[in-house]
Amino acid sequence: MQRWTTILFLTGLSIVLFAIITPLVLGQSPMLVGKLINASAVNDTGAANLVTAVVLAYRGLDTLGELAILFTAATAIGIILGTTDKTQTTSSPTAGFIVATAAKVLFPLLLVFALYIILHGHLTPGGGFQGGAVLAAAFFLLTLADSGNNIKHKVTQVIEALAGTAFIVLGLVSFALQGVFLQPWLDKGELGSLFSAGSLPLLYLALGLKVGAELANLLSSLANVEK
Amino acid sequence: MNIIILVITVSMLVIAAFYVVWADSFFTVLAASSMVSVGLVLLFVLLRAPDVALTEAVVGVALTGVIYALTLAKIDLWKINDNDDNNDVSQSKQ
Repeated sequence: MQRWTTILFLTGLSIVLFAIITPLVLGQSPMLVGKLINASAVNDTGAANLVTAVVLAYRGLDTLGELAILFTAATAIGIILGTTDKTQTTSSPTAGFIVATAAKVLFPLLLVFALYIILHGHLTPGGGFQGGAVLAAAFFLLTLADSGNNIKHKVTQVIEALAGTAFIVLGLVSFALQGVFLQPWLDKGELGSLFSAGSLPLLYLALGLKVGAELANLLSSLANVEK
Repeated sequence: MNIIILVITVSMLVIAAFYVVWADSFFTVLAASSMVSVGLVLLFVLLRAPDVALTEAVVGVALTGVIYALTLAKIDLWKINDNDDNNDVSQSKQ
Protein backbone atom coordinates (compact mmCIF):
# COMPACT_ATOMS: atom_id res chain seq x y z
CA MET A 1 0.00 0.00 0.00
CA GLN A 2 2.74 2.40 1.05
CA ARG A 3 4.73 1.46 -2.03
CA TRP A 4 1.82 2.33 -4.29
CA THR A 5 1.30 5.70 -2.61
CA THR A 6 4.99 6.45 -3.14
CA ILE A 7 4.76 5.46 -6.80
CA LEU A 8 1.70 7.66 -7.25
CA PHE A 9 3.58 10.57 -5.69
CA LEU A 10 6.64 9.95 -7.89
CA THR A 11 4.49 9.86 -11.00
CA GLY A 12 2.98 13.21 -10.11
CA LEU A 13 6.41 14.61 -9.36
CA SER A 14 7.82 13.46 -12.71
CA ILE A 15 4.88 15.03 -14.57
CA VAL A 16 5.52 18.30 -12.74
CA LEU A 17 9.28 18.11 -13.50
CA PHE A 18 8.69 17.50 -17.21
CA ALA A 19 6.10 20.28 -17.26
CA ILE A 20 8.65 22.65 -15.72
CA ILE A 21 11.46 21.93 -18.18
CA THR A 22 9.51 22.05 -21.45
CA PRO A 23 8.73 25.79 -21.74
CA LEU A 24 11.86 26.84 -19.88
CA VAL A 25 13.95 29.76 -21.13
CA LEU A 26 17.29 29.46 -19.36
CA GLY A 27 18.81 32.49 -17.68
CA GLN A 28 15.80 34.78 -18.02
CA SER A 29 13.93 35.31 -14.82
CA PRO A 30 10.43 36.85 -14.81
CA MET A 31 10.87 37.91 -11.19
CA LEU A 32 11.08 41.63 -10.36
CA VAL A 33 12.97 41.18 -7.06
CA GLY A 34 15.81 39.45 -8.90
CA LYS A 35 16.22 42.37 -11.27
CA LEU A 36 16.30 44.86 -8.40
CA ILE A 37 18.88 42.81 -6.51
CA ASN A 38 20.98 42.34 -9.66
CA ALA A 39 21.04 46.10 -10.12
CA SER A 40 21.86 47.18 -6.59
CA ALA A 41 23.55 44.30 -4.72
CA VAL A 42 27.12 45.01 -5.83
CA ASN A 43 26.90 48.64 -4.71
CA ASP A 44 25.18 47.74 -1.45
CA THR A 45 27.42 44.91 -0.27
CA GLY A 46 30.52 44.71 -2.48
CA ALA A 47 30.12 40.93 -2.87
CA ALA A 48 30.79 39.51 -6.34
CA ASN A 49 28.60 36.47 -5.60
CA LEU A 50 25.08 37.86 -5.43
CA VAL A 51 23.74 34.76 -3.67
CA THR A 52 26.00 35.60 -0.74
CA ALA A 53 24.77 39.18 -0.83
CA VAL A 54 21.20 37.90 -0.46
CA VAL A 55 21.97 35.21 2.12
CA LEU A 56 24.12 37.31 4.45
CA ALA A 57 23.27 40.96 3.77
CA TYR A 58 19.63 41.20 2.64
CA ARG A 59 18.47 38.11 4.52
CA GLY A 60 21.02 37.89 7.35
CA LEU A 61 18.36 37.37 10.00
CA ASP A 62 16.94 34.37 8.08
CA THR A 63 20.41 32.84 8.04
CA LEU A 64 20.58 33.29 11.82
CA GLY A 65 17.24 31.48 12.00
CA GLU A 66 18.61 28.61 9.87
CA LEU A 67 21.58 28.37 12.23
CA ALA A 68 19.16 28.16 15.16
CA ILE A 69 17.22 25.36 13.43
CA LEU A 70 20.41 23.39 12.72
CA PHE A 71 21.55 23.96 16.31
CA THR A 72 18.22 22.67 17.67
CA ALA A 73 18.38 19.57 15.45
CA ALA A 74 22.00 18.84 16.44
CA THR A 75 21.17 19.32 20.13
CA ALA A 76 18.18 16.98 19.89
CA ILE A 77 20.30 14.29 18.22
CA GLY A 78 23.00 14.81 20.86
CA ILE A 79 20.41 14.30 23.62
CA ILE A 80 19.00 11.15 22.03
CA LEU A 81 22.27 9.49 20.99
CA GLY A 82 24.54 10.82 23.74
CA THR A 83 27.89 12.48 23.12
CA THR A 84 30.28 10.48 25.22
CA ASP A 85 33.91 10.47 24.11
CA LYS A 86 34.99 6.88 23.72
CA THR A 87 38.69 6.09 23.78
CA GLN A 88 38.30 3.10 21.50
CA THR A 89 35.42 1.45 19.75
CA THR A 90 35.69 -2.28 19.83
CA SER A 91 32.37 -2.96 18.12
CA SER A 92 32.94 -1.25 14.77
CA PRO A 93 35.17 -3.07 12.30
CA THR A 94 38.18 -1.44 10.66
CA ALA A 95 37.76 -0.16 7.13
CA GLY A 96 39.10 -1.92 4.08
CA PHE A 97 42.31 -1.05 2.26
CA ILE A 98 40.63 1.19 -0.32
CA VAL A 99 38.81 3.38 2.20
CA ALA A 100 41.83 3.59 4.52
CA THR A 101 44.18 4.69 1.72
CA ALA A 102 41.68 7.01 0.03
CA ALA A 103 40.99 8.75 3.34
CA LYS A 104 44.68 9.63 3.73
CA VAL A 105 44.86 10.98 0.16
CA LEU A 106 41.53 12.79 0.18
CA PHE A 107 41.63 14.38 3.65
CA PRO A 108 44.06 17.25 2.85
CA LEU A 109 42.36 17.89 -0.49
CA LEU A 110 38.92 18.00 1.14
CA LEU A 111 40.25 20.34 3.83
CA VAL A 112 41.68 22.75 1.25
CA PHE A 113 38.48 22.55 -0.82
CA ALA A 114 36.30 23.25 2.23
CA LEU A 115 38.37 26.26 3.31
CA TYR A 116 38.38 27.53 -0.29
CA ILE A 117 34.58 27.30 -0.50
CA ILE A 118 34.17 29.07 2.84
CA LEU A 119 36.72 31.86 2.33
CA HIS A 120 35.71 32.55 -1.30
CA GLY A 121 31.99 32.48 -0.48
CA HIS A 122 31.61 36.16 -1.40
CA LEU A 123 33.39 35.68 -4.76
CA THR A 124 32.44 32.28 -6.19
CA PRO A 125 29.49 29.91 -5.68
CA GLY A 126 29.56 28.28 -2.28
CA GLY A 127 29.87 29.56 1.23
CA GLY A 128 29.53 28.65 4.87
CA PHE A 129 26.90 25.94 4.63
CA GLN A 130 28.49 24.03 1.76
CA GLY A 131 32.04 24.46 3.06
CA GLY A 132 30.99 23.42 6.54
CA ALA A 133 29.40 20.23 5.20
CA VAL A 134 32.59 19.39 3.25
CA LEU A 135 34.63 20.09 6.40
CA ALA A 136 32.47 17.69 8.42
CA ALA A 137 32.72 15.05 5.66
CA ALA A 138 36.53 15.40 5.62
CA PHE A 139 36.86 14.79 9.35
CA PHE A 140 34.30 11.99 9.34
CA LEU A 141 36.23 10.26 6.53
CA LEU A 142 39.16 9.87 8.97
CA THR A 143 36.83 8.30 11.55
CA LEU A 144 35.40 6.02 8.88
CA ALA A 145 38.87 4.85 7.84
CA ASP A 146 40.17 4.23 11.35
CA SER A 147 37.58 3.77 14.06
CA GLY A 148 40.09 4.68 16.79
CA ASN A 149 40.44 8.14 15.22
CA ASN A 150 37.32 9.66 16.74
CA ILE A 151 36.20 13.27 16.50
CA LYS A 152 36.60 14.90 19.92
CA HIS A 153 33.20 16.13 21.05
CA LYS A 154 34.70 18.60 23.53
CA VAL A 155 36.71 20.31 20.77
CA THR A 156 33.82 20.47 18.28
CA GLN A 157 31.47 21.82 20.96
CA VAL A 158 33.91 24.62 21.83
CA ILE A 159 34.35 25.49 18.12
CA GLU A 160 30.59 25.43 17.60
CA ALA A 161 29.93 27.69 20.59
CA LEU A 162 32.65 30.18 19.65
CA ALA A 163 31.54 30.34 16.00
CA GLY A 164 27.89 30.83 16.93
CA THR A 165 28.84 33.60 19.35
CA ALA A 166 31.06 35.23 16.71
CA PHE A 167 28.15 35.37 14.25
CA ILE A 168 25.90 37.15 16.78
CA VAL A 169 28.72 39.43 17.98
CA LEU A 170 29.36 40.54 14.37
CA GLY A 171 25.66 41.38 14.11
CA LEU A 172 25.69 43.25 17.43
CA VAL A 173 28.75 45.30 16.41
CA SER A 174 26.87 46.38 13.29
CA PHE A 175 23.92 47.26 15.56
CA ALA A 176 26.19 49.42 17.71
CA LEU A 177 27.82 51.14 14.72
CA GLN A 178 24.88 51.55 12.34
CA GLY A 179 21.78 50.88 14.39
CA VAL A 180 20.74 47.85 12.27
CA PHE A 181 21.31 44.23 13.34
CA LEU A 182 23.44 42.15 10.92
CA GLN A 183 23.91 45.01 8.46
CA PRO A 184 27.20 44.61 6.52
CA TRP A 185 29.93 46.81 7.93
CA LEU A 186 33.70 47.27 7.43
CA ASP A 187 35.25 48.54 4.20
CA LYS A 188 33.75 47.07 1.00
CA GLY A 189 37.14 46.96 -0.72
CA GLU A 190 37.73 46.27 -4.39
CA LEU A 191 35.07 44.11 -6.09
CA GLY A 192 36.32 40.58 -6.68
CA SER A 193 39.38 40.63 -4.42
CA LEU A 194 39.70 38.24 -1.48
CA PHE A 195 39.51 40.96 1.17
CA SER A 196 36.31 42.62 0.02
CA ALA A 197 32.61 42.76 0.85
CA GLY A 198 33.21 44.03 4.40
CA SER A 199 32.00 41.73 7.17
CA LEU A 200 30.42 39.10 4.89
CA PRO A 201 33.51 36.79 4.68
CA LEU A 202 33.84 36.92 8.48
CA LEU A 203 30.18 35.93 8.86
CA TYR A 204 30.67 33.06 6.39
CA LEU A 205 33.77 31.88 8.25
CA ALA A 206 31.80 31.72 11.51
CA LEU A 207 28.93 30.01 9.70
CA GLY A 208 31.22 27.43 8.06
CA LEU A 209 32.98 26.51 11.30
CA LYS A 210 29.66 26.20 13.15
CA VAL A 211 28.02 24.03 10.48
CA GLY A 212 31.16 21.88 10.15
CA ALA A 213 31.49 21.32 13.90
CA GLU A 214 27.79 20.54 14.27
CA LEU A 215 27.66 18.03 11.40
CA ALA A 216 30.92 16.35 12.47
CA ASN A 217 29.51 16.04 15.99
CA LEU A 218 26.28 14.57 14.65
CA LEU A 219 27.99 12.03 12.38
CA SER A 220 30.45 10.84 15.00
CA SER A 221 27.78 10.42 17.68
CA LEU A 222 25.74 8.45 15.16
CA ALA A 223 28.76 6.26 14.39
CA ASN A 224 29.58 5.68 18.07
CA VAL A 225 26.10 4.98 19.38
CA GLU A 226 25.73 1.53 20.88
CA LYS A 227 23.34 -0.94 19.39
CA MET B 1 20.45 21.21 -27.06
CA ASN B 2 20.00 22.24 -23.44
CA ILE B 3 16.46 20.92 -23.46
CA ILE B 4 17.69 17.49 -24.62
CA ILE B 5 20.23 17.31 -21.79
CA LEU B 6 17.55 18.45 -19.35
CA VAL B 7 15.10 15.79 -20.49
CA ILE B 8 17.79 13.08 -20.21
CA THR B 9 18.74 14.27 -16.71
CA VAL B 10 15.15 14.40 -15.49
CA SER B 11 14.43 10.96 -17.00
CA MET B 12 17.46 9.51 -15.19
CA LEU B 13 16.30 11.15 -11.96
CA VAL B 14 12.78 9.78 -12.27
CA ILE B 15 13.95 6.27 -13.20
CA ALA B 16 16.30 6.23 -10.20
CA ALA B 17 13.47 7.45 -7.95
CA PHE B 18 11.19 4.64 -9.14
CA TYR B 19 14.01 2.13 -8.66
CA VAL B 20 14.31 3.24 -5.01
CA VAL B 21 10.73 2.05 -4.51
CA TRP B 22 11.11 -1.23 -6.45
CA ALA B 23 14.59 -2.40 -5.37
CA ASP B 24 14.74 -5.22 -2.85
CA SER B 25 18.01 -4.71 -0.99
CA PHE B 26 19.03 -1.77 1.17
CA PHE B 27 22.36 -1.45 -0.62
CA THR B 28 20.76 -0.85 -4.02
CA VAL B 29 18.12 1.41 -2.48
CA LEU B 30 20.85 3.61 -1.03
CA ALA B 31 22.81 3.65 -4.30
CA ALA B 32 19.67 4.56 -6.26
CA SER B 33 18.67 7.32 -3.87
CA SER B 34 22.17 8.79 -4.22
CA MET B 35 21.61 8.56 -7.98
CA VAL B 36 18.50 10.75 -7.55
CA SER B 37 20.70 13.31 -5.85
CA VAL B 38 23.25 13.14 -8.68
CA GLY B 39 20.43 13.82 -11.14
CA LEU B 40 19.33 16.79 -9.04
CA VAL B 41 22.91 18.12 -8.98
CA LEU B 42 23.07 17.99 -12.80
CA LEU B 43 19.66 19.64 -12.99
CA PHE B 44 20.75 22.48 -10.69
CA VAL B 45 23.95 23.01 -12.70
CA LEU B 46 21.96 23.15 -15.94
CA LEU B 47 19.51 25.59 -14.39
CA ARG B 48 22.49 27.79 -13.39
CA ALA B 49 22.27 27.42 -9.64
CA PRO B 50 25.83 26.29 -8.71
CA ASP B 51 25.31 27.15 -5.04
CA VAL B 52 22.37 24.81 -4.71
CA ALA B 53 24.18 22.17 -6.77
CA LEU B 54 27.12 22.27 -4.35
CA THR B 55 24.83 21.88 -1.35
CA GLU B 56 22.95 19.01 -2.99
CA ALA B 57 26.22 17.29 -3.91
CA VAL B 58 27.58 17.43 -0.37
CA VAL B 59 24.39 16.81 1.59
CA GLY B 60 22.33 14.70 -0.80
CA VAL B 61 25.02 12.46 -2.25
CA ALA B 62 27.52 12.17 0.59
CA LEU B 63 26.07 12.94 4.02
CA THR B 64 22.58 11.47 3.55
CA GLY B 65 24.02 8.21 2.23
CA VAL B 66 26.44 7.96 5.15
CA ILE B 67 23.71 8.72 7.70
CA TYR B 68 21.37 6.10 6.19
CA ALA B 69 24.15 3.51 6.03
CA LEU B 70 25.18 4.13 9.66
CA THR B 71 21.58 3.94 10.87
CA LEU B 72 20.93 0.71 8.96
CA ALA B 73 24.17 -0.73 10.35
CA LYS B 74 23.10 0.14 13.90
CA ILE B 75 19.77 -1.68 13.53
CA ASP B 76 21.46 -4.72 11.90
CA LEU B 77 19.92 -4.35 8.45
CA TRP B 78 23.13 -3.40 6.63
CA LYS B 79 25.17 -6.43 5.69
CA ILE B 80 27.08 -6.56 2.44
CA ASN B 81 29.44 -9.48 2.90
CA ASP B 82 27.21 -11.92 4.69
CA ASN B 83 25.03 -14.15 2.60
CA ASP B 84 22.24 -14.29 5.12
CA ASP B 85 19.00 -12.68 4.09
CA ASN B 86 19.20 -9.68 6.38
CA ASN B 87 19.58 -7.12 3.61
CA ASP B 88 16.47 -8.31 1.84
CA VAL B 89 13.70 -5.80 2.44
CA SER B 90 10.84 -8.18 1.74
CA GLN B 91 12.15 -10.79 4.17
CA SER B 92 13.08 -8.40 6.97
CA LYS B 93 9.55 -7.05 6.96
CA GLN B 94 8.13 -10.41 7.94
